[in-house]
Amino acid sequence: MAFHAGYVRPQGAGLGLRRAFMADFSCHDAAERVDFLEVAPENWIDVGGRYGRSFRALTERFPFVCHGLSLSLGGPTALDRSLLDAIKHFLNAHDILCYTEHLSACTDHGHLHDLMPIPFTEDAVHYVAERIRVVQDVLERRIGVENVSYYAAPGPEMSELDFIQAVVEEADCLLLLDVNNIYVNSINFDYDPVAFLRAMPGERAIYAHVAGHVREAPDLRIDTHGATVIDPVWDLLDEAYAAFGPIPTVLERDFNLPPVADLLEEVARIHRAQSSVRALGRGARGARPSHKRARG
Amino acid sequence: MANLRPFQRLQKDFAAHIRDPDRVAPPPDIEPRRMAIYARLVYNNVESVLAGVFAGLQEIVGKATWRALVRDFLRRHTVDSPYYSELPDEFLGYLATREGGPSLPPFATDLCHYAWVKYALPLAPDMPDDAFDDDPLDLDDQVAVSSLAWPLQYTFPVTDLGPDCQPSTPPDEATYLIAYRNRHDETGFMASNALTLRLLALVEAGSPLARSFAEIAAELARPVPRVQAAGLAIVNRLHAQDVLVRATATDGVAGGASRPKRRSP
Repeated sequence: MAFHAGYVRPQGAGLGLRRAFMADFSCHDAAERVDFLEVAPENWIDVGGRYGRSFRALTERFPFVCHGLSLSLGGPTALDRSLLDAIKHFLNAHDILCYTEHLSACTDHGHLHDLMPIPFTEDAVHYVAERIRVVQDVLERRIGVENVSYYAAPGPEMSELDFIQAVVEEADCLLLLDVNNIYVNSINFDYDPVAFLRAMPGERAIYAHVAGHVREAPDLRIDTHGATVIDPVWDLLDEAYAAFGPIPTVLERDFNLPPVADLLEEVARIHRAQSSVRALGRGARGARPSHKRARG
Repeated sequence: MANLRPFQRLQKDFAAHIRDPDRVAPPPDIEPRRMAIYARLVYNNVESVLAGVFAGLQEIVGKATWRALVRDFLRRHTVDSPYYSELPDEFLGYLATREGGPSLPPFATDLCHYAWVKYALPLAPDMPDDAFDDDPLDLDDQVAVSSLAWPLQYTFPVTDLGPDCQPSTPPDEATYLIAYRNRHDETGFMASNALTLRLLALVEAGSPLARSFAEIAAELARPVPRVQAAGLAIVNRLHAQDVLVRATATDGVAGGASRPKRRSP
């Protein structure tokens, strides 16, 4: 059995990069305010022309992490090997620190380009864990999987928490700890977000996400990445840092884009939260490349 | 897909409703309000990229037909591409093969393809840095069509189509264009003609210039020297516009492009 390190943990506070604000971003003194950037590889593989050139200029300036969209780890279609090969090529070509995907399905017989829930069942645990292992083997690196937001749970036979824990254990993969998703799901499924967070396998967290969401109804939130991060989510991020140390954290913002200066202010807030937990003497914990597991 | 596990059956039913919420019942144990969120998210996500690229079609057919068309696409088309940015390519595939669905004007496919070229060419994978040069081409030179020059032939006059130009039958003459992206990443369309596109097709098929000109001379029943002289002038004009490149310079282009681009109308 092959164990892969093959990844580098980012440091500090990052930002999800969008084409729409790339030009503005390059004009700001962003280098001092953002430690790393995150992109979906599927949005940049084989992109040439002016966008491709701007992207390369940024990858030469910033550390990057990749957050995949279309592998459909929990989907019924076979793993897309040509996509995996393209991702591997992309990760190497741009010196990407690490790669994460969603613990969800985005396909039935074809791509729906959105994230659908995986039923929380024992059989699904084995199925998804095996696919994650295959991905790690092909990419020759451990990957992180994100706890996703969801609005409906088809046929659950175990809790969401048990499902996530079982998958990452069995796949021996890393976790992308999405703090906003825990908050959204805690309202959508009426649980205590802090207790849920503390029970997550935070020692496997490669990095974290925060984002804004919308209020659909008193008991329903939708994870849109289209608004500023709200205070309860910032509070939950503080809880995550208290529990697991100042995990590197990415601000995700995909829609209703504000001026870049506003995004950089939210990134600064991540930095402040990380600094204050460091001041309290919480050392960085969580996932690190383990030498005894490095490929030999 | 034949042997679905029980949890995959749940997923399939879940997705079937999202694809077609008006006709396929939601899973019985899930609150319809929650399924509606998924149906809306998926629809909006697909619609937004299609509406951006195919705004011209939307304007001509109106909002109701447009919505029915996107619904039909979601219901019946299997999207194979894992790239969200290729949903417009998938939509062209749907238009080309669909049976039934909302009725569209006869020029819809041409209009959409032309819109797609404007969207896709600026994003297409780069040519190698040394692909372009300024030295004149001669009869003996090996030439190739740049992967960033797309010869296009349309039945309908795509450059004129719009709310005020909606022909019900195609004109006698086809519309010939070359979409190009030059070494400075400037993109545009140049008007062309059947003969130039024939020449580009021969070049793309790997035929040397001398043989291409001889073939065209035979097809036109014209003297070879005259076709050669006129042809070389065209070839050098296209070379200056970065449409034709030296064949040696394009060796290895395929290595840079790991996904194919559909570009025939």
